[in-house]
Amino acid sequence: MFKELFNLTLLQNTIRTATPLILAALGGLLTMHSGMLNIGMEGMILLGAFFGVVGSYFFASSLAGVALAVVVGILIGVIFGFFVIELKADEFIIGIAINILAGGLTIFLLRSMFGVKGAFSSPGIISLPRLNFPSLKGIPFLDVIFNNHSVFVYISWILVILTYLFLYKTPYGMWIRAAGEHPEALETTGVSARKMKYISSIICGVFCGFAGAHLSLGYLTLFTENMSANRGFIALAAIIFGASNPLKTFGAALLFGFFDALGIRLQVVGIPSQFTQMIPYLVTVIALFIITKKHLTKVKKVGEKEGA
Amino acid sequence: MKKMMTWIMIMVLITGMMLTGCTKSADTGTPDTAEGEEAVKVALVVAGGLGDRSFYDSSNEGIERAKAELGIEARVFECRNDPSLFNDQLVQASQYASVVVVVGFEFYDVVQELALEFPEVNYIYVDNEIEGIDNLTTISYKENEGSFLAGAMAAMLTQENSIEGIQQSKVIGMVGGKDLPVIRNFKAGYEAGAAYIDPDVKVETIYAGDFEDPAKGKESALALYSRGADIVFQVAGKTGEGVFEAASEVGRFAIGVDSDQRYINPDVIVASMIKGVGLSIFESIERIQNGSFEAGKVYHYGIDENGVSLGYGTQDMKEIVTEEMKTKLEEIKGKITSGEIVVPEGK
Repeated sequence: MFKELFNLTLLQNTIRTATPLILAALGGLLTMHSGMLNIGMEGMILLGAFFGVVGSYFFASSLAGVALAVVVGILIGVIFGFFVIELKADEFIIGIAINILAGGLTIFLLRSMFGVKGAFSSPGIISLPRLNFPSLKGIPFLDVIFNNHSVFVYISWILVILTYLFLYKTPYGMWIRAAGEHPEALETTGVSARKMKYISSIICGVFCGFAGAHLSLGYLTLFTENMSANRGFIALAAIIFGASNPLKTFGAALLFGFFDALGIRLQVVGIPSQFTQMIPYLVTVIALFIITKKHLTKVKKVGEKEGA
Repeated sequence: MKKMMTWIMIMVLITGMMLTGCTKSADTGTPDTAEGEEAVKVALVVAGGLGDRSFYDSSNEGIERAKAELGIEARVFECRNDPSLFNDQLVQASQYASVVVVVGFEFYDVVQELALEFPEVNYIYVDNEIEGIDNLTTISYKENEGSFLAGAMAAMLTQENSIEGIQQSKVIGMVGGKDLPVIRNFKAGYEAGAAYIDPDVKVETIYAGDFEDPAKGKESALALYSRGADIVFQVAGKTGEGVFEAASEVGRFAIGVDSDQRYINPDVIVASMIKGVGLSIFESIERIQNGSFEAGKVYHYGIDENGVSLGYGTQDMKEIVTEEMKTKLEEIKGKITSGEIVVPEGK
C-alpha cells in the first residue's frame, strides 16, 4: 500500500497542482508586504485563464495568450491599486468585487465571444509548450521530476528565487516592505509609498495572469466557468502560512499540492473521499496551530527578557 | 467627495456584476400556439448553469424540443450553483409557469416546501424520488442500468490489447464528481457491468469532490491512468472535461456521461452513457398536454424506457467500439429488459 501511494506520480501531481498556487501566491505576497490584503487573486486568476484562452485562440499562439493574460493582469492590478490606494476603499470589498466581476464577466464574454456556455475547448487553443531536458533523460528520479512539465512550472520556480531576491536584496523590495510596515518613514526618505503599492499591485496582477494562463493553457487546454476553483484563496492561505516569505510560501504551496495529490490517491486504496478531501484543510489547521504556537512562545520569551 | 466617488463606483461595479452574474436566460421564443389557445408555460430551473455539455444541457434539450414540437412557452432559470438563489429562482419560476421542471439534487428540500406553497403548479423534479406530494412528480433514472452497459463495454475494451493505448492490465476507472447517491448508483452499475464480462477486471473510482474543477478532474484521471486504467468513465460534469484532457495526454480512453459527449474528442472518448433527461422531460410535458400525466408519482427511466443508453457519436468518427462489441451490448440490454440480468442499485 505504501508503494502504491508514495511513488513518483505523486510528486509529479504535487508539482502540477502546486504551480498555479505558487504563481498566484508570489504575486499576493508582494501586495501583502506593501500592506494590502488582496483577496481578489481568485478573480485575477480566472480572468487570466479566460484571456489566455482568448489570446491563444484568436492569435493562434500560446505566447499571445500569455501576453493578453498579462495585459489584463496589469489592468486589473491598476484597478485594484486605484481603488485601494487613491480612493482608500476597503481592500477586502474590492477583492470580493474583483472576484464576482471576474466570475460574471468571463461567463458573459464566453457566451458573447465564443457562443458557448459553461466550457470552451477547441483544437484552436494552442497550449503552452512542455520542456524536456535531454541531459536528464535516463536518470531515474530527476527525469520524472524535472522533465515534461509545462513551461510555467519552471518559470514559477525561477520566480520564487527572483521574488525572494527582489524583496530582500533590492532597494525596491525594501521600499515595498517599508510601504507596508511604515509608509510615513518611507515617505521621509523621498520614496513614494503610493508608487510602491502600485508596483506590488501590478506585479500581483501579472503573476495571477500567469497563474490563470498556466491553468487554461498549460495545465489544461480549455476554459470552463469558475475554473480557478478557489485556487486564489488557497494561494492566500499559502501566503499566510508562509508568513509572506517567498521561500516559505513556495513550501506551503507545495505542501497543499502534496496533500491534494495524496488525497486523490488515498481514495484508491479504499479511504472514503469525504475523509481524503478533508486532509489538505486538516493539515492547514494543524500546521497553523504549530506555527502560531511557536511564534507565541517566541513572543513570550522576548517579553520576559524585556520585562527582566 | 472622494469617498462618494468610491461608493458610486463600487455600486456600479456590483450592479454590473449582478447583471452579468445571475443570468436568467429569457428564452421566450415564438411558440406557435394553436388558434389563440394559450400555450402551456414551462419553467426550467437548474441548480448549476447551462453549458455543462452534459446533464443540464440535456434537460434544456427536452425543453427546446417541447417548444418546437408541442408549442409550449418556456424560460430557463439558472442558479449557477449558488444555494442562496435556489429558493428565489424556484419562486420566480413558480410564479411564471404552470409546469416547473426542476433539475438538480440540491433542490430536494426547497422543492418540497414550494410544492405545498404553490399547489396549482405542476412540479417535475428530475433525478430524485419523492412520493406523497400531489403536485410533485419525480423522475428517477436507472443510471445503474446504463452504467452497467458502460462497465461491460469498458471491460471488453480493456482486454483488446490490439488497440493502441490499451495495456495488458485489466483495470478500468471512474471519476465521480462527489460521493452522492446518484453518483454511487453509476458506480454500482459500472462495477457490476465490468464484472459481468470478466470478474477479474478491476474497477477503481476517485471522487474529485467538485463538479466544476477540470484541473482536479485531470489529476484524478491521471492518477487512475498511472495505476494502469485503460478507460476512465467520467461522471463529474465540468470536472470531467479534465478527464478527457488526461486521456488524450496519456493516449488512453474515456467514457462520457449524460449527453453524447463524443464530439468533444472523438479520438479518446469511446462512447457516452446517455441519461435521457431531455427525453423524460419532453415526455412529461407531452403527457401533461394530452392528459395522461400522473402527478405525484415517481417515473422510472431505465433501459426499457430509453432513459439510459450508450451513445457512440456520429458515423464519421473513428470506430473504437467494434460492431461485435455493440452486438454483445445489445444482447446485454435485452437481458436487462427481460429481467435476466438484475443490475444492483447503489442509491
